[in-house]
Parts: sequence; structure tokens; C-alpha cells
Amino acid sequence: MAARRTYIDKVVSALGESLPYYFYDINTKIILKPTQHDHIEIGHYSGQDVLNFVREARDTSSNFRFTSDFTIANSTQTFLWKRKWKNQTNAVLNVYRTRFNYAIRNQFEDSRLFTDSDITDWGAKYTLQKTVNNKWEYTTGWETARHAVSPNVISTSGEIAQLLESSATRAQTSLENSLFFQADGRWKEKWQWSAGIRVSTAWVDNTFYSNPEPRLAIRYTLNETAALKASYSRMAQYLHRVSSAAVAFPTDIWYPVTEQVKPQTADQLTLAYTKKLTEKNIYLSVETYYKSMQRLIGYREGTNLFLNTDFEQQLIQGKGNAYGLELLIKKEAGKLTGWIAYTLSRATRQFDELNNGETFLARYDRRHNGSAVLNYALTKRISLSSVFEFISGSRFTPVIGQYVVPAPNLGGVQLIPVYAPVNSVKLADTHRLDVGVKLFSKPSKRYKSEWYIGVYNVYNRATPIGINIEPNDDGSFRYEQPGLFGTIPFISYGISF
Amino acid sequence: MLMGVVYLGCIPEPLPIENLPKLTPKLVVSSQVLPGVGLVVLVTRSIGALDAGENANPEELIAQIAITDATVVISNTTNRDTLLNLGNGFYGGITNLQESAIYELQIENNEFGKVNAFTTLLPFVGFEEISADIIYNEFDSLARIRYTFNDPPTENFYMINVQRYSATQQLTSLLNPRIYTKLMDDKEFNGQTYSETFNVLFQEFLPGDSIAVSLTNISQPYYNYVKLRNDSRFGFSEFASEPINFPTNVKGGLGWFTLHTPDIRLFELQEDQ
Repeated sequence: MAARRTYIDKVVSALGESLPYYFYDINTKIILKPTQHDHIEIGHYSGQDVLNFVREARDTSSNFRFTSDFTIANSTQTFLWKRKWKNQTNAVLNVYRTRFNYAIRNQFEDSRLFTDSDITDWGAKYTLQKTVNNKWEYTTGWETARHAVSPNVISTSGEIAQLLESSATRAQTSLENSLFFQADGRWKEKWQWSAGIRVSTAWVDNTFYSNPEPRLAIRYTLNETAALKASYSRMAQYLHRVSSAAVAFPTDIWYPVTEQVKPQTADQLTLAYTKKLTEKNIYLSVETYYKSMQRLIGYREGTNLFLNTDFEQQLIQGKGNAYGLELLIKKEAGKLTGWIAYTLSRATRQFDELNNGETFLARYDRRHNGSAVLNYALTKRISLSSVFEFISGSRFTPVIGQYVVPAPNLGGVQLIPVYAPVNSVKLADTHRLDVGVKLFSKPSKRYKSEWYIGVYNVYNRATPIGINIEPNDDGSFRYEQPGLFGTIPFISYGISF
Repeated sequence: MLMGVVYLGCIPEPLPIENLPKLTPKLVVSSQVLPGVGLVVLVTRSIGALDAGENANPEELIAQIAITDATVVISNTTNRDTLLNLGNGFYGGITNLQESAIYELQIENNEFGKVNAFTTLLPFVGFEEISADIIYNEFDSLARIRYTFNDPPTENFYMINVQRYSATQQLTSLLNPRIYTKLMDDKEFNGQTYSETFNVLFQEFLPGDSIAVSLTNISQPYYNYVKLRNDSRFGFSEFASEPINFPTNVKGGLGWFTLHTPDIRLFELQEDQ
């Protein structure tokens, strides 16, 4: 059983400042082994992020006060039963319930604006795996999931109700079912293969969808230390995440397929080469991939998702692709261990209704992504560690111009923004270096302990969390991205027995 | 405690965002029929995104962007008039506009070449009755507007605006002024007399404050444009919110060529008796 809660809000509060955010979670698991053939796990996870914001009026004699409470919660309950049957047959039954919901409570004077969103899934999956002989085995089974989605419920009262009436997106229930079969085998000495088919279906209101999802993976052993791999897979998705293109919010909406909103599908090809330098315990991997996606979800320009309960009519569907090259070098033994990874990638989108129908880069088209994790054992009890991460900035659509029009009743002028082509600008790159040293207790001791001392973000580079407009001295403005955490020294002590 | 001190002491410098594309300047058109005066057209140029903000001086801004050397011509099937250059980007003078006629506006200057736009002069629809006073609730004193107008038996779209008005208005309040705007169509009262009472929300008014209330019969494309502007007001910031390319009926430029005639009434607010 494990539980945790952040405490930085309490620390900041003790210094007279305010950080109205914290999160906590609880994780429990019970493992049972009633027989030598049965293994049962019962698990529970729940967590919540809480943001409480209060702003008092400057005039302390007034009763004016604005409060905003924002909570995001996740909970999962699982039941897992593994059973070993005779004849090299294994079965796994997994039953689960998950719930994601958020609630926003804003109150100012007599105005109340409450927003709720909820998605609850009940599901089960049964898998049967059988080893036929030393050449091949198969896995088959079924899966079912019921999604109960309440995407957006808005409740208003007071003055604001005259501007925004209470409303709710129609709650929907969808049922997904699938059957799958996969076979894994060897052919001659050098070939390994895995081939499968999954047929998935979704039923929502009076609309029924089905999609075959074939997959094939092949591995060819070049020699004792090198291999080539290739794979193809097709996937279908019946639950869409509708998110802002410009701003990352945790309040993204989940929406099931409907008669108008079709399932998303994707086809992916990969090709890889792996090599092991056995004498040096070094593993190398080079992999390239290409993914083509159809009926991706987006929404029309100007759609207000935040306070909108009738957004299905605003949803649009388009296509996209992504491709890249991934390199990995890993060392798992010796005084120096760790890995260096690098990915070069590109992702694009195309919607007829957006960007004049022209293809544009996806928001998370982050061209370069690299990391280096290294550990060096100075002695048996002292080791050094470092982590360096680099990722290219994501994309966004800035305002690049403005123009003036008279206000509708001629009582002034308004500035109207003009935006750049969609996602045409790259945000600042993110990179940081962490270093640390571990001190282990003597191996002979009954209780093992370790001290871990280090510095996170050694050169104090901002990890961007948003975009601000700041004034320059000459009266113009500039875009910049603030960071939340800079250099943070840390110290931890762990004990195991 | 140590963690808190370190956290507060090491907040990193923000990162700049570079390589922003620059908008090719475009010619911007706005127009308005002033009751009893005639048509006025404002011709300006677009500016860079970071060149001006809400704190800019409106007079200086207009002087910076006004196009003062354009030739502005308005025509229909029977007439063609060149508007007078009134200075500061304003052109006007024509008064004999015909209801329901389609007009073309052509603007030409050396910097931007030619742009043009088409629109129809919609029939004037004004208030039959209107009153404004102040009501009090537990927290605020609000302006309450009561009005009535006669809707013509055609498909119509309306815009009602309420704005605080002062003879000694601060110039800074003229840029992105706080205007309360209501939009509606006449599907539920087509060809009938329509009455409504509403409160101007999120602005506090005191006895003696002056407001301007206007009713305008507008075209559907312009209604859609203003609705788009209104809906985007829930965004946290236009600079970091959903990108919207606001529509325009100006071919080769930006803005709107409209021939709407507002009915503007001024009130000095008093408490409801």
C-alpha cells in the first residue's frame, strides 16, 4: 500500500506566499495465491489534483471575493486472475473499472459557474495462451468495455445565468467488443514471426462500427549478435479525446463515436536493426517508423470548447501522418551503465476546414528528442548518476498581426488579431541536466539503506509551462515562456528490510 | 523551509520565442452609416502583433495606421461616387443610399493596390420604445434596459450594444472598449413586435452615469462575424487561445464593408422609481 501527497504548497505557505495546488494519490494491491496454479491480484488506485484559488477584493472592507476550485480525479479498481491450466495453457481474466472526472467551481458574488465532466469505464478481458510445441504458440481471447461519458455539464446561477444558461452535453454510453487471435512462432533457425488479427466493434445509440485490425511482426537473425525486425499493425479507436490546439489543459473532453463522428484508424510500419556487442555489454538499436492516421478529431475555427455543451456539430475529422528514426545505445553491465537515446521525427495534420485545407505540423511535432542516462559506480558503495534530456519545442499558432475596426456602436475601436498559419511557430526547446550521487549502506548489514543527494536542473533552465506576452521598453511586446521550477537540490534516504 | 527558500530563489529566466513570422501588411476597411450624416469609411493598414496592445493610445494608433492617400469609390448599378478624404483615414460624404440596393466599395492606393467589397444597405430598424435605469441586487448596481421594436417580415439579424459614454471619456478606454453586445435573430418573432428587458452584466453603474444603447439591423455574415468575436471572449488570451481567422468581405484586404444604420439612444441613468 502506498500513499503520497505533495507538500510544496505547505512549504510556500510557511514563507508567506501562496501556491494553491497540491496532489495526492493512494495505491493498494492485494495478491492472493489460493493454489499453485492461481494468482489473483486486487488493486485500487485513486488520485486527485486540487487547485484552490481565492482572490480577495483590494478593499478589505468589502465582501467581494472570487473563488475557483478545480479538481481532477482518477480512480481505478482492478481484478486480475491468472491461472495455469494443463498442457501449457495459461489464462488471464482482467476485470476493471476506471473513472476520470474533473470539476470546476467558480463563484463571484452571486454568480456561480460549475463545470463537470466524467467518463467511467467498466471492462473485462479474457486471454488464453497455449504453447502448441516448441515452434509456435497462440494467444486468443475477447475484450469488452462499456464507456459512460458525460462530456460537459455546465451549471450557472446568479447574474452569470443571464449570459450563460445551464446546459449539458448529452450523456452517451458506448459498448466496445473485440475478439483477437495471435500466433507466435519460429521458422527454421533464423526467422521469428508473430501474426494476429483483432476484430473490434463499437455500438452507440443505433450506430454500429466494426474494424479488422491485423498485425504482423517478423524478426530475422543475421547472426548471433544482430537482427532485423519489421512490423505492420492497424488500430481502430472508438473514443476521441477532444483537446485544445493552442493551450494544454487537463480539461480535455472525451467523446465516443456517433453517427457523425467516425472511428479513428491508424496504420503503422516499422523497420529495425539491433546489434549486441556482447563483450562490452552494449546494445544498439536503430528503428524507423511510419504511421498514417485517418479520421483524426479536430474542431472548427472559433469553437469554444470550454463553456460549450453542443460541440458535436463543431467536430471535424481529418488525417495525419508521423514518421521518424529512433537510435538507442544501452550498456547494462560494468562500472558505467545507462543509455543514450535520440529520435528524429515529424508529424503532420490535414483538415479541409482548417488552415485553408493545407497540411500543417501537428502540435506535438517535436523534431528532436534525446536523453542520456548514465550511472558510474565509483566503488561498491558510491555511484554517480546524471540525466540529460532534450526535446524540441512543440508548435503553436501565434498572433502575427492586428487590425483596427470601429467598435460595433462606434464608441471606440477594437483590435482584431490575425493568426499565423496553424502551428507554424516552434516554442522554445526544453533541456535540463540532473546530477546525483548515491551512497549505499554496507552489504553485510541486515537493513539496506541508501542516501541519494543531487541537483535537479543544474544550469537552471526554464521548463516552459505557458506563454506570456511581456512589454518591451520601446512599447512593443514580446512572447516568452516562463518556467515553474529551476535548480532544485534534493536529498533522499531510503531503507529496505 | 530550505526547499521553499531554494524554490523561490531559483525560478529560472523565461525563454524567448523566436522566429515569429511577420504579417504582410494589408489594407483594412471599416464602414458605418451615421444617421443623418451619411456613409463614413475608415481605411487603415494592419500592424504587427506585438506593436500595440490594450494600453496603446488610440489617437496615436489611428495616426500610425491611417491611410490618407486612398481613392475610395462606392457604386451601385446606377450611381458612382468618390468619397471625400476627411483626414486620418476617414472618407465619407455620400448620403443618398438606397435601401436594399447592392453596393460595391472600391479602394485603391499606391501601397496596397486595389481592394473591393460588396454589401447591401439593409432597412433601418429602430427602437419603438426604450428606457434605461439602475437596479440594485445584493452586490451590484446594474443598468437595466427595456425596449421594443417592430421586426420586418423578412429574415433579420440584430445587434444591440450598450456602452458607457462620457463627454470627458479617457482616450485609453476607447481602445477595446467594454461593450455589452447582444445578438439575436428573428426566428421566434418574425414580422412581430418584440419586447425584452435585460440587465447589462459585469459592469457596475451609478446614478448619473451615461450610456449609449444602439439597435442595428445587420447582415447574416456580419452577425456570424460578431458572434465569433463574442464567443472568443471566453478565451483566456487571444495571444494564446484557439486561433481564429476572422472572416472578411473585403477581397484583398481585411475588415468589413457594411451598410448598417444604427439607432443610437443616450441615457443618463437614474434609479428605478
